[in-house]
Amino acid sequence: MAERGVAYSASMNLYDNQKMKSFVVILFTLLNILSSAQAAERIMKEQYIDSNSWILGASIGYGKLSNPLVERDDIPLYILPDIRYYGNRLSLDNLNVSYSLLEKPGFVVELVGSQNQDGIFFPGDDRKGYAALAGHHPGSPLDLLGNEKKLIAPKHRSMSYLAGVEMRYYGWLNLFASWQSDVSNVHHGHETRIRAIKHAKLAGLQLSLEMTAVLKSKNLIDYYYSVDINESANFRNFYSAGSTTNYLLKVNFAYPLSKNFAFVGSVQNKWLGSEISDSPVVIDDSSNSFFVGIKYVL
Amino acid sequence: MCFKQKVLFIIILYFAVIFNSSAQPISVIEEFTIKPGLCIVEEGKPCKQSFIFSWRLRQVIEACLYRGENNQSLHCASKKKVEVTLFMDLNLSDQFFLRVNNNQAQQDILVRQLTRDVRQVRRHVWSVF
Repeated sequence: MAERGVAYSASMNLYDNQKMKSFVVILFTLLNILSSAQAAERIMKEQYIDSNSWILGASIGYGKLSNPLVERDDIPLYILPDIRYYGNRLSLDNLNVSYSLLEKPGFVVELVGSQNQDGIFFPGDDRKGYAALAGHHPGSPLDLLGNEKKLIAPKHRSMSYLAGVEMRYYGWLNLFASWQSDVSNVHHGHETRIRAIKHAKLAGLQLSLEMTAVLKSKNLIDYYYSVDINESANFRNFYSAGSTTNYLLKVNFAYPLSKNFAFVGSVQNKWLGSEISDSPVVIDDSSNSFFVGIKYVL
Repeated sequence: MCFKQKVLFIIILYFAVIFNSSAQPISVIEEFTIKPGLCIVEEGKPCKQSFIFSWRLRQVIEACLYRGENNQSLHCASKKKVEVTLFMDLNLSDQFFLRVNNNQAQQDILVRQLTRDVRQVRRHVWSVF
């Protein structure tokens, strides 16, 4: 039994490595295509916004967020609000808040607070609203026959709020790194996030490609994805999850039509860490989303 | 004033404007640019960096570059096409003038301080998520 467990774990690691290699190859191929020295200065200007200003906008269109949990439906997306305020130090960005500790050209250190996104997938109040504001999402049809794992429909989990510190470097490739811990007394876990973002412009079309890795602590994963007596009476279904890493690849595009309107879109895929995808409440090992529409900004 | 008189008055006015604009002398300065035109600095710090000043004239004549109200030129050249890199120490946004005889062209360098004037955003205005 133990040998089978080791073999299974090794094959999962091999599978994860292959996924990551493909992930990195795709990323850098696209980065080379997107690279443009001429666009560099224009892109640099777009990373700034006037202090003490608001962005009030909304995207209207169609999209879906796939939900990797058992018996949970995809979340349709029609309206995505975008409400932001940039003060001298304080910033608000929908459900996110931040306070700048240090801001130099090309480098920022901020205290940050943000909604944890794992809770969006679980049963609970206002999860579609949270999904629209947090930008994460949708579900796949069940395939119970094709799955050897004993699947269990998830029960309610609370949403949680994380706070911590973030460092951002802006250059040819923007690099963001953050560490945030639960401040909502839900799971007492934390997550470490590393993001690499490449912006480019092609004949008026604004593109960005983002690769993210999120290391989630055991406490966080255990709260959302473990199965115990509260979820299943059969102890064979019990599952104890440990820390794991999710990987995300996202492409955003925008084609400004005027000062206030733009044709916008976003496609992303999230590869769930094995500790999440092995959970009996999870049916898919990845989650994807897309949105296409028109964005209006006041 | 009857309708015909009004029409005649408008036509005369139109040709007067056209004639006046076409009678203005063509500036000898064809193009004058500064790159970059924007300097982002940490709050309370001056902008210390090199800028590329370039201009193109319609004829070979001496042109001089001036900063703000300062009468001392930064650079002079007697060429049709000039590109010069100058190191600047700017506390505030400033104006730069290219003067040729009685003609002049103006370009600004904007100095903007982080947190006080501008912020570096986590995501672009048009981003969806």
